[in-house]
Amino acid sequence: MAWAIDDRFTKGMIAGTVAGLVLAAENLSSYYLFHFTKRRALDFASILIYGHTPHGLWESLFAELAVFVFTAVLGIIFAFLVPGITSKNYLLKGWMFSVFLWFSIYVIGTLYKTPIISKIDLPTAASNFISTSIFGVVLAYVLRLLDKRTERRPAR
Amino acid sequence: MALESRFLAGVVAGVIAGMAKDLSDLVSFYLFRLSTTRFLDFSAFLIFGHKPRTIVETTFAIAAQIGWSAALAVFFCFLVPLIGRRNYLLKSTFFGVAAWFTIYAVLALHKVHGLYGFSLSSCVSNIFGAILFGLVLGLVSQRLLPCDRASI
Repeated sequence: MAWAIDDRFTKGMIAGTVAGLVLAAENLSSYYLFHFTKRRALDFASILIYGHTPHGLWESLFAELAVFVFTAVLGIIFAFLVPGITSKNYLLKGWMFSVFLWFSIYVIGTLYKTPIISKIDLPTAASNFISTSIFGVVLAYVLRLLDKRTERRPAR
Repeated sequence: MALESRFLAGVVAGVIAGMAKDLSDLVSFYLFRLSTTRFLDFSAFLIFGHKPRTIVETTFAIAAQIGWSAALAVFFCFLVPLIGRRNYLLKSTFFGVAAWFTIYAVLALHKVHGLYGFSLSSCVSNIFGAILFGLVLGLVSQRLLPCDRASI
């Protein structure tokens, strides 16, 4: 089976996962190193999966895995959006896409009164905003890099 | 052997993948005692509001569960012309895992009784089922889907 990174789905999935890794690094350092945010991205996933924040390392790792699945899905959606919205000012578009999703997640969490998502203090909200901004920019940047590699080949 | 209809290919692939997923789930539940909620319990909760109590309810829940798998597979088969056939098994597997997380998220947001807040072992068992579903879906639908230019 040929393995090639020349279709939008695979490129979006890779870009989303790489951006998810950067998001995790920023988010975890904000939580453990700078004590700025009170909630990690994996806490949000944990609430959806276990119904509570993670107990122990394995639950945390599994929740982080779910976050990567989610960021990969976002990467795929963005990759399929790019041909429609064009890649001009791609960093701005990536940032806008990500911030829009960040706000949408807050709105959905509040509407459904989901624990921890519906009640967030200012430092956590600011930290999440920074995290999602970085996510969007990295996502657009990596996707652009992958697109440039295959620019001369027909899109699939 | 390619089928004429994309819909039919999806139904066949979905039924086979759903059966493979349910089989792995039942082995995980009864043999390894990993999972605490079977996939058929999900459909039973959504249909009856509780776990199945009789063999008829269990059979009905399994049928609904297989029907749901077929619907997911049909959706995937209609996605194929959009996402292409490159790295096909990766795409189908990822589709299975993404569907798993989406279902968890929807159930958690609505706090569906009995289907919210799972143990880690249940989650691992379920994600294994989702990966298996995606893989079998990919393997079967790859052979059944009509090979038109749009979906290559």
